[in-house]
Amino acid sequence: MKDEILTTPSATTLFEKKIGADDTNIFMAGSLYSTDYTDILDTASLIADSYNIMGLNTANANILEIESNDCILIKESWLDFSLSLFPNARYFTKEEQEKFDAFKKTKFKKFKFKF
Amino acid sequence: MARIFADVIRELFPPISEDTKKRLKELLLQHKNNPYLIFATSLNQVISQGDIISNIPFLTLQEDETYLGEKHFAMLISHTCDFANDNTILFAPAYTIDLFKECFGNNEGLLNSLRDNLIYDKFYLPERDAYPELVVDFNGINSVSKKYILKNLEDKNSDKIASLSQEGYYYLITKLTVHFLRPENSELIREETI
Repeated sequence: MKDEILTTPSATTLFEKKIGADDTNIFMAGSLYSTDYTDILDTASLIADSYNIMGLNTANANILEIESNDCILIKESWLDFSLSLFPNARYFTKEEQEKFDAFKKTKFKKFKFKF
Repeated sequence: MARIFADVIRELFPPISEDTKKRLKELLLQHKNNPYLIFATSLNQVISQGDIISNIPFLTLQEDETYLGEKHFAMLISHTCDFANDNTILFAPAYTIDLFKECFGNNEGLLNSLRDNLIYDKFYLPERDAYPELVVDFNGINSVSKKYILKNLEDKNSDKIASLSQEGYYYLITKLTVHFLRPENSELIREETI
């Protein structure tokens, strides 16, 4: 059954790695690395079933914990939500950043201190 | 160990309620049509995270060990409680949009991205009576003595000129979250200790 879990295609790399590392101390942090909660929850359910862990309840819970202390799933974090708010955002390109940094050198004062 | 780690993670990445999520998404839609919703209609009584203060000095160490410096409008980045309790406070410079116009010329695409808050490490603030359009740059954060800030406010060398509304505050912390706490490159391998 463990092999089956490890080949579950929907699990994130970290997810699989953690699960593979120690059967008795499963930590699922998939939601920190993926916004595809359905995949994570499906995988969590599969794992919970596989290990006979009881208490996994995915209904309307933001943080799910399995009371045996073996398995902890954070379904959706503030980070996940924040990332979802800006799907089309970006950083300055390298060229834009270099141009802005160079421009500031022409506009701002230069100071020299001795330490 | 997993339990302790989970508690830490829970504090760092608190879950968000469906109601808050809905309100924030509504705010973003409304904000596009009315960016002024980001501001409180009056200044917060205490100095609070996200407040805009004028005339704060910023210095950035350069490769030749000189510092590039200027006074700018500034946004309080430190937590409200930390402003009350700490001696040194974090501020991010808030550049006028004119600085970007002068630098990038007629690059309307970039200016629009700034105005629509679509640049992760910048936070756009529409113009008010007290100041022009501003772009807060999270990459320019400096540490400043609180006593210096309070004295300058008292002496009227600086002014607190705007506070964020509750929705504006949420908007700010989503941008801070994305910029500072986004997932690292998956190719980075850190040593695991548990």
